Amino acid sequence: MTFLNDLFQYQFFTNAFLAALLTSLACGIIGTYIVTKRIVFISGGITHASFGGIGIGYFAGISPIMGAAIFSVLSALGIEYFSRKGDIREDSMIAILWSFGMAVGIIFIFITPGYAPNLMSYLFGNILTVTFSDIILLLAINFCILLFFVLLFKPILYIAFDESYAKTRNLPVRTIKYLLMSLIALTIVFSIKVMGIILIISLLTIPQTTANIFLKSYKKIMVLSVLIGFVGSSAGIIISYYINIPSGASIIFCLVIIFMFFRLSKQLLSRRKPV
Amino acid sequence: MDKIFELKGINAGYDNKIVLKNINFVVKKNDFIGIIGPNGGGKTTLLRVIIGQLKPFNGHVKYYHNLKNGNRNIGYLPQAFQIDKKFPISVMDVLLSGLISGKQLLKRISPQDKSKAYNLLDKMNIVHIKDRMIGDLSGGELQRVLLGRSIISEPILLILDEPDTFVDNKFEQDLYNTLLDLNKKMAIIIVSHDIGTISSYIKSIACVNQTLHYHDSNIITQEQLVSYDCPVQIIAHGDVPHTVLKTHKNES
Repeated sequence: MTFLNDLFQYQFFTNAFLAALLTSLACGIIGTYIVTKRIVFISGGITHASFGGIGIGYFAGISPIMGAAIFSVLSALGIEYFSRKGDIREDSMIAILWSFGMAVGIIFIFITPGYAPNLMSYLFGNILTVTFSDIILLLAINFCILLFFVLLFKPILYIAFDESYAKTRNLPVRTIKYLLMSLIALTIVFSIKVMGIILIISLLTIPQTTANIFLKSYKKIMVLSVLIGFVGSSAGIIISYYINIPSGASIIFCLVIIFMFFRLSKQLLSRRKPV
Repeated sequence: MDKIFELKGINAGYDNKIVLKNINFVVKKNDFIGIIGPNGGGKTTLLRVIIGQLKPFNGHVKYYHNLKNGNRNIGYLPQAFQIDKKFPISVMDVLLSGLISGKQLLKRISPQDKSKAYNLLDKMNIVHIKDRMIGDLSGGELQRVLLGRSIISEPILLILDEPDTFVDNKFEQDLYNTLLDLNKKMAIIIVSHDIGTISSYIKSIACVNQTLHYHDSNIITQEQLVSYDCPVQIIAHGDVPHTVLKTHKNES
């Protein structure tokens, strides 16, 4: 274990590790909602739309992550609003926001004078660039998510299961859905440093799908997703450090290996049963 | 004259499309009304107006018995296809969701709530499936659970949207007998394609095809249906069971 001790002597590695832990926690909880509610495509749209905010951030000289936060919350609320209106097909609306966000990002980065530093790290994630303020943002979003889910777990579960019935019980369906969409958008944006825009969807779906192989209860899926996310991302950042590849990509590699292990175990177990 | 709610001059629909025109409808205590009508005639739209999910373009919706914990207490059983069977939720949780209320959002589930759910499952003879996930249930079991959810809060009005699709005959019989029993305590509105089977249970019929014709009897003839502009198939009751089918001029 001495190599781990060596790693934690570096501040950047401690930061990266903390960020991975906090990202897994937020993505584990939020991703369970995304997967069970079947809104993976919406989340993909929000993720890519946030690139527009990063571009504007570069251009205006403010923090790209802050630009992305504003941009993605607005697109999340926009998707929710338009899907409720129902006059445009929801998936087409998402595709428009998805590509429009990317286009805005590309244009603003292109017209910003000079070279755009760290552009690749926003797209693919880079553990080296996690700063103390990123950790604070992750702490804040985790606090909000935990508070929201601990206080309102049952209403959230019932609304996710059957929205129109929840309305007949007078639950504030619209308010809770808008809040959840905002939390999804913020979770995505604050996880960009670890995972990168193109790869963040993995931490929102692979651990949950893996957990769902053996567990069928919402709560248990949520807890196991957090654990799987944490194991996968810790292993991923250590590998990314040693062989010098983007952290997001190596985390996905680890997550998929865990997924395949679960899936194969299930297959072996169910094959044994009939005998 | 113990009215539960009243619709007066309702026009309703989606965007600019009017689905329901000038609807007047009164539901009283202990009513048992079967709603029939062609597909696309506005049956579900009418239900959505009644449960307050759709605001009508104009007209008045008046509730007489509205408040229980500040809630409009209506039991609602949606069409089965609206349910995502892969959603990870247990039978017990589905039942408990029938007791939640928007006015007490932060309230925890009490042991009383749990025993209430347990007793109801017991009464419906499905207590053995209480910890199962809904994805592992048969069609009939799922319908029973959803019916349980809609009556656990002891509503004054129970609304069922085609509860008899995708279930076996055994469940259908059970369901209608359960409804007869429930009707002693609550008014029931049921949308059904199977007007023949329900006609011996219901007390009156409402035909919905853009407009609403209320028929204060559980027997309706083909001629009456035509005069109500309500092209549906009816099945007659008699000593020899037989199906009467007739083609309609304006069938689409």
